Amino acid sequence: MRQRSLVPSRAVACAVLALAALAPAPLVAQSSLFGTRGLGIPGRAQSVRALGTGGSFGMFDGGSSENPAALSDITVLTATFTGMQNFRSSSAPSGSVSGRDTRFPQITVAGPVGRRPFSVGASYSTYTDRDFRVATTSEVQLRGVPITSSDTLTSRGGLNDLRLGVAWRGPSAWNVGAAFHLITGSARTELRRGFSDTTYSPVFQTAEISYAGVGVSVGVLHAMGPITFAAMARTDGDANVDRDSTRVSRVGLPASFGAGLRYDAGPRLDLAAQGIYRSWSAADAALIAGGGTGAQNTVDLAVGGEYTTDLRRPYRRPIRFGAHYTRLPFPVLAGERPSEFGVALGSGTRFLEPRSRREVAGLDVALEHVWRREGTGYRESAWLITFGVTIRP
Amino acid sequence: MRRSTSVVAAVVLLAGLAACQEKLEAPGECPGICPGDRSTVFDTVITASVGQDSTFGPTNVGGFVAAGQGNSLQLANGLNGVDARAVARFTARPESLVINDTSYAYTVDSVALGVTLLRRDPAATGLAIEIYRLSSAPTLDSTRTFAQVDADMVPANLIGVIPVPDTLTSGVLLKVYKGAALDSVAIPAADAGILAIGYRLTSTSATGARIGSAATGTAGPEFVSYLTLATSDTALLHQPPLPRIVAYNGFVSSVTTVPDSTTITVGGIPSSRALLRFDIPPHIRDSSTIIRATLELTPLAATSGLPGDSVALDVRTVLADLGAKSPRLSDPATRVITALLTLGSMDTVRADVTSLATLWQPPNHLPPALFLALQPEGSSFTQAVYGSTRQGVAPRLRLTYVLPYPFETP
Repeated sequence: MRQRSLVPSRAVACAVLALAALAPAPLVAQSSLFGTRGLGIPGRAQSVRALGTGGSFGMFDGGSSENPAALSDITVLTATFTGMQNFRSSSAPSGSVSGRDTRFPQITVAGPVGRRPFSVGASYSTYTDRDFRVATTSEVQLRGVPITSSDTLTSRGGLNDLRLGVAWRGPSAWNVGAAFHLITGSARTELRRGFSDTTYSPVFQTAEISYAGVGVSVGVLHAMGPITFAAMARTDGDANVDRDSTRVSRVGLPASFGAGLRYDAGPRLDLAAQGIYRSWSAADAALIAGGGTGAQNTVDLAVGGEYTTDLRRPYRRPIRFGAHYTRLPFPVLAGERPSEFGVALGSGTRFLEPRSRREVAGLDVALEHVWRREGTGYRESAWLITFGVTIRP
Repeated sequence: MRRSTSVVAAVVLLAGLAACQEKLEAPGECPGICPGDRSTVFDTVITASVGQDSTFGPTNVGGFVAAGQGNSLQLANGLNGVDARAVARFTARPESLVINDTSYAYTVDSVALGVTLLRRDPAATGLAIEIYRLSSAPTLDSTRTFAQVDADMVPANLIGVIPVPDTLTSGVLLKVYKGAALDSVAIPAADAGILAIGYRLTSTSATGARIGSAATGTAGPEFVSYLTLATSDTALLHQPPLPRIVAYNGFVSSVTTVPDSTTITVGGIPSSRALLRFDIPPHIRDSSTIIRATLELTPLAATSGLPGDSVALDVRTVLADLGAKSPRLSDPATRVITALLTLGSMDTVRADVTSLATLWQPPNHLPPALFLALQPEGSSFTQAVYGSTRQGVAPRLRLTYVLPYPFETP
């Protein structure tokens, strides 16, 4: 059978085309009903490959940003671009709406340091997403007269995580890594209020809320025969919150601890599971002080696997599958416990340079269906189509 | 290879097309995800700064618009116990006309004297405007007193009467003189061609009227002569009318009202204006969104005036607080607030000044002051008197506002 391959120039052209097509979209993840509170809905700093496994390969995957030790997996210069299309349906006691958006949740560039046992990488991924628009009508008493108020709150943006990491491929299959995280980003927000009595002028308020913080993370990978163990720890300290360049508060960001196991179940099948605990309650006090609904600690759990369909060409259309369950940190209503459950399916392919058989580009896709809920009133289901372009020039 | 390329390009293009569409809506719920929950509307009443609400009028700054400088002239026949006479002096009518460097004598065929009725009491009947020749025509100006004018209004000086039809509420009223009647409007040689006349309103009951003033450029008193040149040149036989423009017009009243400086008084002759200053709390002035601002004034006396007349309170903000000389913002489309006054009413007067109050906020930062006047100014029979901080009935500003939304902690 003739080998499918793609010359580098065409791979680059495709990547550029993808970038150009998605350029207008900001670097954030999907918008959500559950991103309206606190700092938004947390992003998943994972590659398309990891997302296809429900996130279970996140701490083992060099294209993801969860574990700096996974950078050791990168042995050639690699750049990945990830785009996500989100189709969702959200419902609240007042009714349901459908929405869609396209975003860039992850960009990574990583590669080895010469012939040394080090790899370095930089990634830009979603930390939290504050993309939403909420419209309500309510009745207010103005000068003793009931007036209908139509309110629309819009936010675009969120927090991003710029990671600079290094990993060391140590002896005895021990890989360790460390990373510095710059947490930055802004949300352009606006409020519009109109009143049924037109003697009251409409309200239009805008603000740009920007965030700045730093964090560090460390991680380890260790292979023991068919089992690979991963662990990570991360702390993000506090983030400064500025409103139109004026410091308004500091909000605590979580410390994170995670561990995972990957099992090589045979030549065709890899299985993995991982869990990450995040102490989002660090943000609770600041959010409640500002009148918000607070924040809660979360646990992310994921299981999944990758099935190789063609052993001669394992890079060709593997089947990825998985599921994840996570608590969401920012409840819509104070005291509630929002959560998310999702199942995923994914695949991909790689393109080789014809003569050297070297991998020069890749294309991955993941399809996820997630369900989010809080109490009995708030529901959301979404289809997330994530595609990634990998270039290895 | 080509097939792979095509598939990749198709996927990317589809993704790109999808990226152009965005729908961020999430369902709102009150209470819960409710923007209005966190965007509270506040309502407060701010009284004028004590001692900083001032009336500027004839007693302290000489007044603003004098008789004749407004858009109309007053005629009153006992209205609210006041008599008012209008006067006009026209530019001199020459003894000859110069046409193409040649001076021609002429004879007057006819003369038209007229006024434009602007307002009257529609319920009053039997109105007529008497026209009198005034003495010392060349010297008629604002120094002429009511007594002097009234002294000239004797039958010997009466040169015409223009009846006002009961159905006429506004329009031009003319008196035309021909033939022997021309003698009554002949201009004595001593007056050097200058005609000065006075107008008096008569009626079956006490009433008043406003007629047009030349000060605003239109609708002033008219004096037009129709001539025939003393020449055999048939080309010059038909001459256009010879109008004389108003050199001065004004009116005099039997009663002079002096405003009480401890009240907020607007209107009158010469007109008074009032400056109200408010101390707006910084959190409202600097960062709130004012959605409604209402000025409230408490009348100290029923607003008097000519029945049927339309009089409004004129409210503006100022570019700088320089007291009586504060320059007022005068963009009529958005920055001049008018509140129609109801004659005879003692109800609180309210004016929506939202568009002015927002100018006190960033980025304009204009002084939080309101300059009050009356429209039409220097013309109407109305003088409105309101309570002040000195009277213990302070002007009030009712502000409805929204503080900045806590975007940082949604």
